Amino acid sequence: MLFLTRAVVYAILIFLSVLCLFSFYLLIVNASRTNADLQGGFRLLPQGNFLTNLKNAWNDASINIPQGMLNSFIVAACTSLLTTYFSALTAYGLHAYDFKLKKAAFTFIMAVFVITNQGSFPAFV
Amino acid sequence: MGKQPIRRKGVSYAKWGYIFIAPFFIAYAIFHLAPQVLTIYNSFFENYREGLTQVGPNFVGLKNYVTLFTPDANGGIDILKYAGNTVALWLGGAVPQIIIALLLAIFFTSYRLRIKGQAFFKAVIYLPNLIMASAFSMLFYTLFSNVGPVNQLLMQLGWSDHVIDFFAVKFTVRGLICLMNFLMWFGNTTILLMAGIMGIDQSLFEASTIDGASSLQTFFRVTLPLLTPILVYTIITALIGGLQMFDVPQVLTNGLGTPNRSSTTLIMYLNNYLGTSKNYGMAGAISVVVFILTGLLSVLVFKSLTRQREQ
Repeated sequence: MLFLTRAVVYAILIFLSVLCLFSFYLLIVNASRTNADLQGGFRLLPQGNFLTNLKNAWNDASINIPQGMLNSFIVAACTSLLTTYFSALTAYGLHAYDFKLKKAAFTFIMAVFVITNQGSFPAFV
Repeated sequence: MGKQPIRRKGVSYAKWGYIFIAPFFIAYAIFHLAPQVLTIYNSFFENYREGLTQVGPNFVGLKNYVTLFTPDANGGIDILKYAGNTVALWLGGAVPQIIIALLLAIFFTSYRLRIKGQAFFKAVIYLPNLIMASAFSMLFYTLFSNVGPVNQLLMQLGWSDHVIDFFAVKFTVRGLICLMNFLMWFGNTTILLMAGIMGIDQSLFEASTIDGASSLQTFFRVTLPLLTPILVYTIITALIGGLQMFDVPQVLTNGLGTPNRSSTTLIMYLNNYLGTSKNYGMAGAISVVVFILTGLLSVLVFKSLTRQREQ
């Protein structure tokens, strides 16, 4: 009985893993093919042009991937630094000190969780 | 001897508590509260662009809301249609997401099953979440396009003798959006629920096993009631995320909600008003409606699930 349950569990896990990995696998396979080969149909195994394609994409002046990556990195790094700093500050303040509005502040922070973010974006435009 | 100075019982450090939490509230006021208030304020104004002429801003009261709920020539109310789309897309993704996540969380934490390769499976199911939603939907758009690999695969396997246009049928477009939302979020939910289950006292499971409870009985009588707080949190966050669904359908259908606007969500509708017409009034009104809807549904979910626990 336990053996059967385990078999079913592993089957489910493997199915979900395949579902998750399939699109990425296909992406990698297609990234390793030449343009002419791509028109020719579906292939299951990667071909040998991965590095060439990567080099071409990296050097493409019209997209400028290095600059884009740098931009993303700057924004992401600043965001995470600020978020961590502010959250740690707030959490420490709530934990270490006793003050009258402590409970209210905590409830408010929890409520903010629920409030929509995207809904307020007309004001940013 | 002179007067002793009155000794305080302790030094109050309350001031520092306020100073510590002040940055959060200041940042919140600037980046969340102000836009929120401005949005509500804007929703009472007529403010848009028609061609090259700018109309307004003029105060019009509730006119934007009235327009929003006025039926069009065909007798349909757009916002209700889009709200329906959003709910359908959310349910299609969130229901399997929570069920599968619950199942996986139980598999991973079960000491009877002792799953091998847990680290691998956990990493794999979390993988789609690491990719940006718009990049993920771009990937799916390419995969399922008319000349994409999925069509090629189907033709080569002989399962289909013609090119299937996945983006022309309501069912497949909606199915793809649901699938993508499911794939992106079920790993995250699994990790959350696992943490919840591991927080339950193990001796309770042992006790129920000794009392002769079956796996199903243990799940429904022990695990589920004790997991309710985490489950409520999961459902509410999924609900909020679902109502704000935007990037996946926007990128997948190129902002059109094809076919026949059947996959246009509320936020995509909002975004349409911000396009060339820059209609801040109507966009603000939609935003306020979404806000109220989210609040109401969250309270509903919270109340119904916590009441269940008390019984």
